[in-house]
Amino acid sequence: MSAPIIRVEELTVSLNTDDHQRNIIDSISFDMFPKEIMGLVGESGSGKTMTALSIMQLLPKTIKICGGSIWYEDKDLLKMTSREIRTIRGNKIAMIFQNPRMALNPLMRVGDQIARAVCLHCEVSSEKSKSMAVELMSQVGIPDAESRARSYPHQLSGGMAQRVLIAMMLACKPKLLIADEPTTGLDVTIQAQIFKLIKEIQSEIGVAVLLITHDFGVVSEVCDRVGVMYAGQIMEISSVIDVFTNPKHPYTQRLLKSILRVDRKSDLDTNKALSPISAVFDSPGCRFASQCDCVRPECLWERPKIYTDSPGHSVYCFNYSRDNK
Amino acid sequence: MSSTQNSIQNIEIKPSVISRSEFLGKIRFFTRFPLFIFGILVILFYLLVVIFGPSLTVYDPTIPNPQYTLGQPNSDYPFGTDKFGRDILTRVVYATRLDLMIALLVASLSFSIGSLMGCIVGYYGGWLDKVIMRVVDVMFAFPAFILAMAITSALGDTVQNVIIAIATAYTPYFIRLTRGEMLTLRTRQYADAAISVGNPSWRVALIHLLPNALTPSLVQMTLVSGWAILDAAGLAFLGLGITPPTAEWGVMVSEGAQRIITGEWWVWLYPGAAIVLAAFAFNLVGDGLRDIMTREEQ
Amino acid sequence: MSNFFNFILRRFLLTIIAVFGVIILVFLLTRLLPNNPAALRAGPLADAELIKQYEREMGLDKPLIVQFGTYTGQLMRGDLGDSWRTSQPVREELGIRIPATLELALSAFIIALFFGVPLGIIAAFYSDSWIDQIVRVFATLGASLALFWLALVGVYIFYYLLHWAAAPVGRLTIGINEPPEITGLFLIDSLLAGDIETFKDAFNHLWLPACTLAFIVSAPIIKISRSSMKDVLNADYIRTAKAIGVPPTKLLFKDGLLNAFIPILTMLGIVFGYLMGGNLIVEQVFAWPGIGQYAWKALSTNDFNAVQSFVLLIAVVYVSLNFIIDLIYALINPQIRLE
Repeated sequence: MSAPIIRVEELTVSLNTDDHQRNIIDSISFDMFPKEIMGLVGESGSGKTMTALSIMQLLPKTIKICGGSIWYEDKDLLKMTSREIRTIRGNKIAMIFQNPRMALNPLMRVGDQIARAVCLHCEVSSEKSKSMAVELMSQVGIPDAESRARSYPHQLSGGMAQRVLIAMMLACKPKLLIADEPTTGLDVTIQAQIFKLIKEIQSEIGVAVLLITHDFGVVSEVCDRVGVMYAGQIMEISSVIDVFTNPKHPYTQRLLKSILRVDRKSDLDTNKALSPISAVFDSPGCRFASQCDCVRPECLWERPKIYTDSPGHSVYCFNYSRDNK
Repeated sequence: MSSTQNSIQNIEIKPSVISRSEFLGKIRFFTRFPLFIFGILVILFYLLVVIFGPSLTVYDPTIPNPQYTLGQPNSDYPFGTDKFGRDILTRVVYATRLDLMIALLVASLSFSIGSLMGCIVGYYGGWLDKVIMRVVDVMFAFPAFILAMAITSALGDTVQNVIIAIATAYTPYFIRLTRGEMLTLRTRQYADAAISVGNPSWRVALIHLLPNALTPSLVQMTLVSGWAILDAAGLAFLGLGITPPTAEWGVMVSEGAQRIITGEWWVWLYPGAAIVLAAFAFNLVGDGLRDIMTREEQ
Repeated sequence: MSNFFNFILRRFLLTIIAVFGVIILVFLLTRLLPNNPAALRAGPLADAELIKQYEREMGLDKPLIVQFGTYTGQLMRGDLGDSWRTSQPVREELGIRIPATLELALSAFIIALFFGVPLGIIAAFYSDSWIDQIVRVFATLGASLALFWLALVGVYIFYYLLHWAAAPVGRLTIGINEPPEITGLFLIDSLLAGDIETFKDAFNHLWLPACTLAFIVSAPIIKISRSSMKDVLNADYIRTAKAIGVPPTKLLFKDGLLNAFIPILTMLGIVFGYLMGGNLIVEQVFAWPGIGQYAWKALSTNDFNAVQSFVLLIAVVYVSLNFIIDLIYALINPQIRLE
């Protein structure tokens, strides 16, 4: 594979509450390569969205990055000034969100919102940007784009709004598109359409996609690779085929087993087979240890080292480290 | 194994007394609202003045003293004297009683009447709700001070009428707040539960729902206390409601206003400062309460 | 478009109903309260005969509903009755005083607007920082200041000690002629007439009472600007705008302000209504010849008809302002304008 476009290295993000500091993302590392679709799965609160927001530098005020680096084209995004990061956002790295209708400014015509994105990063006249906006809208499958461009967000359905957002984010042909649960709140049939659109765009303009979801079914259909997160730590990263046929980490195994048990219903949020993430955030070791069937003593106080099974399949678990084999 | 032990420990019955660390945690929580604490302390100070102030002063608040009129502040008269030679400190202290009483009576009157009405119209709805809410809308068409002024001038100048007038002007605030809360509360399941076990509807409304609807009104009550002080004093300044020679902050400022271009600043400065500090304290506590409640929800 | 007209029509009807309610309330205030207006008018020394005579004159011996009919009938013709104190028509007396009040209220409003809104926005932008804390304490303090006391402090400092402001007696120094009336606002009229001397004098008289009022009413403007801006800044669409790299100033003043404007606008309406009525106190301190001072004179002489008309005027201004705000609201918000 070619060089990664994004390299996340030992990223640590913390939430400062009244009493203490809690690392909601604990030293995670992963790479993303051009033109791939990578999934990031995990339960609610496992830190998927925060990882995405860290890349975008859009974390809420109470949450701070306190370690690590995020490399984009030899530059560390975390060391950039806010002016520099603005030339990256929307231009090189774009992001679409859940609840698309809320993510559009209610007082601006959607065409103008897309045109603005065009104007911000490409040097074109406002006339040109408006016609480009209409073009983008028809490109993402909005029928009758010319007149739709003059609508306001409240006149659009959720699916349409998400298409508008995608069009807005594609305005300057970014290298990486982050999609944070882009179909939450949409009908099932619309969900399929949106994922289809994302795949089409990915192959058409060659953008890499980081897809954040809690739905393994979506991962199996859409993604090339997948990272499994639990309580702010990455447990396992591998190709989608490997994760389904040969899951290594006890957490991944448990996840997949629970999916099979409830028969195709793969939504982790409604999954009762796993205890919810609770106070495991303060553990110095593997955060899954307290729930793990194959827990070892060292799991409780030491972070597991990365173990690479085959190229592109990494597991963070002591059960696989060399001396325990 | 260890996890089962953990869960057993977790179900152990907690002692009902707050533990030391929990108590310290609560204290630490409140220290993050220093302005709230400051407001509370100021109100406590005023209460102390109300209780002990008059017994500590040596002068009479209303008897003139022709020997020392419009006297500069000095060690005998820390706040100076007014044009009748009365000690301003003494008058400010006595006025604290009156003004704080007005504030608390206005707040509790408008709170209790307004919440009760809001509770009833919110729970039962129907034509009564429509009529009362129309009246509330109309009352909101008047600035509170103007409404209080109109009522006072129609009722006549007594302390009691001032209280009635200001309380009337603020009652719509409480009706609206409580009604809004009741509208959401009455759709809750525990309301249905209370009805289904055979409670009469008035009991459901007053005993089961109303206490849960009062939180925003309690915040409002603190704010209204502050506004009531400003309004009562403002009316008195205009010569309405409370009239000389009563020791009241607004009356005293009004008497001092005549001295504004002759330079006797102490006559109006101190009673005015007493008003502002009191209103400031009530506002800080009201805003603080609101902040604390939203923070606790999070 | 029909939605828009429906909305306006509904609001207009509600406004009419509110005005009607205001009239009823003002009417009841005088007739149902224990004090007999005829006795008030006659004064404490009057005998029963005089009170009876006044009652007949004012129609108080007729049934309530007839009285109400007469009263609304008069109002429809724009007749507010005569002042008991001066025996002049109240409408004319209020009419000649409105420009003075309007000049004061408008200046205070503009000052408070250009001071309060930016301050609130800055506090929201740097929310929870020390700037935010200072702005919040400042706003709370503004809400706690007694208007009459602040006015006295202002006069003492800026007139008595510093001589920066003119003596607190009216709109112009005695001896300076009023500018030819065009708008009734001396600042504008004197400029239109090219009379710089009068302009300076009018300004010297105006700035202190205007700033006093502005200081008080900027408190709620700051608070509402801060809280609505804070809500908007946390909204998803602001995050979207950030995600496409919109610079912060544009974010704040284009995306932010337009969306935060609606609650701010509602507060501005309340504030202007308050200014029209609340200047009662400031006009009193500065001897400003507006409707507030007229109302005060009426109050202190039990000229109840004038007081009643003043209260009615304030409420109607207030209700009409709310209607105008609804109109603006409907124009800004596409959800009402379209569909």
